[in-house]
Amino acid sequence: MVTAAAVVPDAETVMAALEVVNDPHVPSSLRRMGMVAGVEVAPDGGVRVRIRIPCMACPGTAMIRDGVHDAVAALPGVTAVKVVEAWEEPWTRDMVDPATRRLMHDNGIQI
Amino acid sequence: MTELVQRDPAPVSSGVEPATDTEDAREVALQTRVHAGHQLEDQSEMTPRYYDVLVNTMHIAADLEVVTLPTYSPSILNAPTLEDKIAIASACQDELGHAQVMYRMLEEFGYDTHEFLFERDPSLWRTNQVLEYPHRDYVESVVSMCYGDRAGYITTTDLEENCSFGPYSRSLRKVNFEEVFHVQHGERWVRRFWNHSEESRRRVQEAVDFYFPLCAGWFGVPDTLKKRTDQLLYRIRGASNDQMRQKWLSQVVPFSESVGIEVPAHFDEEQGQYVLDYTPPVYLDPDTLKWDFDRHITWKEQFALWKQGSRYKVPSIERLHQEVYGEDLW
Repeated sequence: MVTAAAVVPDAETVMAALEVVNDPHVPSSLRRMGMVAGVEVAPDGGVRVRIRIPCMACPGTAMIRDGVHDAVAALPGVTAVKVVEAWEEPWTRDMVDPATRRLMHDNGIQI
Repeated sequence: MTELVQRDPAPVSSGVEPATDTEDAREVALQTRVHAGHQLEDQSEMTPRYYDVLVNTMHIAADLEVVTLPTYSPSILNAPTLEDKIAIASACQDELGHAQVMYRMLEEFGYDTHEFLFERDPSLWRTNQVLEYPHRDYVESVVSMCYGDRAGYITTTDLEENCSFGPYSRSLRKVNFEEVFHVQHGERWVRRFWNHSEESRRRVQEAVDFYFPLCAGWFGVPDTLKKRTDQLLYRIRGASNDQMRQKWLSQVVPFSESVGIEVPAHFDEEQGQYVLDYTPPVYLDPDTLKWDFDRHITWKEQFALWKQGSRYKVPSIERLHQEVYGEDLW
């Protein structure tokens, strides 16, 4: 009997998996912080995640990259993960979702 | 409505006299209210002794935040990548931000920040040994973050959850978000250095050997010896020394074991809790910076050492006064 290979996930599934990856400073997901620029899934299961880093020279960048890599690599059907910093489209404050903006406001974090 | 009590600020370095029995109605009312969960929002609600205990607590917290700067910043020189140099600088900036939060509140109580920072005798600063040894390399910094910032975080989360002075409790939310990153950064790098090379593994074990007993001591004397319980009485904090130390051990021992790092503590099945493998206080050789777990000192000697601080305490704080950082950083 031949076992079917795991189905390559779609971009939406990858985005859902990324929900567990939080910003290092704010307890809110990268997606809600506006830090996920895009997800591309190749037919061979290779996934490319483009992330936006809000602060130049952010010391949490490596931690964010590791978090994204680990969350996506854990998905069945994913064969490779590439994390790319999308500096060509910079993060702006209006990319943060309203609930997260409120969380930051209520906790004294200026954005 | 009670008039706002105008008080001359007490000298920064003074401790607080031990609690004495009092039948003062205001004291009893305050203690009852705070134990029922009431938070004070203003000085007018405080009794003189509550005020003294709170301000003393906040002064120590501010000193501890500020002294991280001369302690951490030397490792910027040999941090392995630009990102790591920035991580240290960023951590220092976070800590000074936390100090700023303390100062803002202390200014409400009449203390002058400039005098506090730049004109006070360094020997009067009230710091803790964990933060009195400038880091010689990045390994020390990440070990200090993993074990020491974690100890600090347990203190500040206890304060955030329990402190009966509302402004202080609320101010710690953002502080605690930032401390989480310091601890996670420390953990990540401790693992990486442990697995990087034989030499870096040796350095990690050496740094943990030095820092572990210091961090266990961060939480102070065992509860059985604790005389001044005003902070708990006024619910300025919630957990006792031993409770916080236990919380710390319950995190660092499993973490260390998962990596493979040896630590002088373990989980005791019979007692159902984590225990140190040695009985504090023990001797720290000031020249070799090695602990001798078989050589005990008295608590009186330990208090004197804590009060005096390491040989680096005064020179470190003097650096802040002299602003000579530029010469060392390049």
